[in-house]
Amino acid sequence: MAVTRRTDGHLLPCGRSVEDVLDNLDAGRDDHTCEHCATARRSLENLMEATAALVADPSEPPPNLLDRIMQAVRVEARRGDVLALEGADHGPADVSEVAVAAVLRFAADSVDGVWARSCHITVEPESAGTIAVAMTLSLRYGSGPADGLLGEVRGRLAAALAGQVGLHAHRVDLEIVDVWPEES
Amino acid sequence: MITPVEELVDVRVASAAADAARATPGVERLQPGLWGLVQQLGHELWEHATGEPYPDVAGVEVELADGAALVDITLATDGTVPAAQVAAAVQRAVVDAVAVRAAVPVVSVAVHVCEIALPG
Amino acid sequence: MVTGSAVAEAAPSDGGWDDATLVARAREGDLRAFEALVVRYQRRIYQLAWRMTSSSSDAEDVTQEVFLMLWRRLPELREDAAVVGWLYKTATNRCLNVLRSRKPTSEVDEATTPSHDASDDPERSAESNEQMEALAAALDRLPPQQRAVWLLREVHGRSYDEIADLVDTTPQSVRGRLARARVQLAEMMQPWR
Repeated sequence: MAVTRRTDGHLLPCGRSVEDVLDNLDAGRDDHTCEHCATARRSLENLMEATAALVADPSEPPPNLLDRIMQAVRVEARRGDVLALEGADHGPADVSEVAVAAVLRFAADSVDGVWARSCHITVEPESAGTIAVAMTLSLRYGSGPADGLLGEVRGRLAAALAGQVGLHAHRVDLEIVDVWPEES
Repeated sequence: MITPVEELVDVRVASAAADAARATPGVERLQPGLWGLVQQLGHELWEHATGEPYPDVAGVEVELADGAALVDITLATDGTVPAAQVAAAVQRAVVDAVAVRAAVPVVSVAVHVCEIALPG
Repeated sequence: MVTGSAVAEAAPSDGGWDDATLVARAREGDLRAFEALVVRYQRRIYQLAWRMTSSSSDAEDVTQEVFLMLWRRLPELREDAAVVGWLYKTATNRCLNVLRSRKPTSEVDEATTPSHDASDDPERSAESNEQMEALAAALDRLPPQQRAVWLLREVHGRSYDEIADLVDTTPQSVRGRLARARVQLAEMMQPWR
C-alpha cells in the first residue's frame, strides 16, 4: 500500500502529520497509534472544548448599537420620493412615499393571515391628493377565501390612508404572490 | 455672506419654529438631516452672544430673505392624526410662534413628513 | 404560487418574516423591515467583528458601517435571501481592512483584548473559562485571514464554499487554512508554551 504523506502538514516525531490526526478526530476515528499522536489528539480535543466554550460565550453588542445604526439609516432614508399633501395654507407639505408605504404595509399586515410584501405608490398627475397603490401579498394557507381577505385588505388600506396620511387612493391593485403553509 | 446678527436671528426663528412644531398634536419628533447633524458651527457664537444654551433646532432649517423667513421642517408624525392635518397645523403654529418670539414674518413653512409612527 | 417545504423552514416560529420578505420591504424603504434585519443579525456581525479586531469600539464601528452599507446596497443585492452571506462577507472585509490599517508594530493591547469576566456567569466552570481565555489569546496571534477563516467556520458555522467566496479563494484552500489554524491554535494553547 502506498503511503501518501502530506508534505504541507505539521509532522509529528512519528512521521504522521497533525492534520491526519485532525481528520481522524473529526471523523470520530480512533487512532491512538503512538504517544505523539495521542498528545496531538489531546491538545486538539482541548481546542475543541475551548471552541465550544467560546461559542457558548457570546459578547453582546452594546444596547445602543441598534439605535446608532437606525439613526444613521434614518438620515439617509430621509431623502427620497415624496407625495404632496393637500390642505396646507402656509406653504408646501409632503410626506415621504416610503412612510406611506410603511403605513399601508402595516395596515395589510393587520389582516390575519395576510402579509404585505412590496408596495408601490404612484401619483395621479391629474388629481392632487390622490394616489394609486400596487401591493403584493403573502397569504397563509387556510386563512379563508382569498376574495374575502383581499376585500378586508382594501378596507384597511383606505382607512389607514384617511386616518394616518390624509391621502385618497383611487386605485388599489392587490396581487397574491405567495401562500404560506398553515401554522401547526 | 451671513453676518453674526443674521445667524442669531436664524437661530431664534428656528428655535421658535421647532418648539411650535414639537408642541403640535400628532407630531412625534423632528428629524434632523445630515446637514443638521454637522451644523455645529454657530453654537459657540450663540452661547457667547446670548448666554443661553444652543436650542434644539435639529430638523428645522431657516432662510431669511428681505426680513422675512422661509422655514423648512422635517418631522415624524405619531399616527394618531392624518399627516396632512398635522402638516397644516404645524404651519399655522410656526407662523404664529415665529411672529411672537422672533418678531419675524414668515413667508412659507414647508413641512416634510418623513415617517409615520406605526402602533406597537 | 404555492411553494414547497422549504417555505415552512423559512418562516420562523416567532411569526417573523423570512429574510427575503424583509429585504424586499427594506429595499422599498421600509425602516421597520430593515430594523428587523438589524435586530436579527447585528449580534452575529458584532461578535465576528469583536473576535476579529479584539476591540469593542472597532467592532461597534464595523457593525454600524456594515449595516449602513447594506441599506445603501439593498437595490443591488441580487438574491434577497442571501443577505446573511452578504453581511458576513462585508463584515469580514471591513475587519481585515481595520486590522491592515493598524500600525504593524502594535502589539495586542491587553486592555482591549476580549476578556470575559467569569463573574458574569457563576455557573461556568473555571476550567472551561481558562481554556476559553487561552483560545481567545491564541486567536489574537493568528494571521487575520486565518483568524477569519477559523471564526467563520468554527464559531459561525459558514460553509466552505461560502468562506472561499468570502476570502476569495477555493474551498480546498479554505480546508487547508482551517486545518492550519486549528493546529496553530492547539499549539498556542498548550499551557507549557
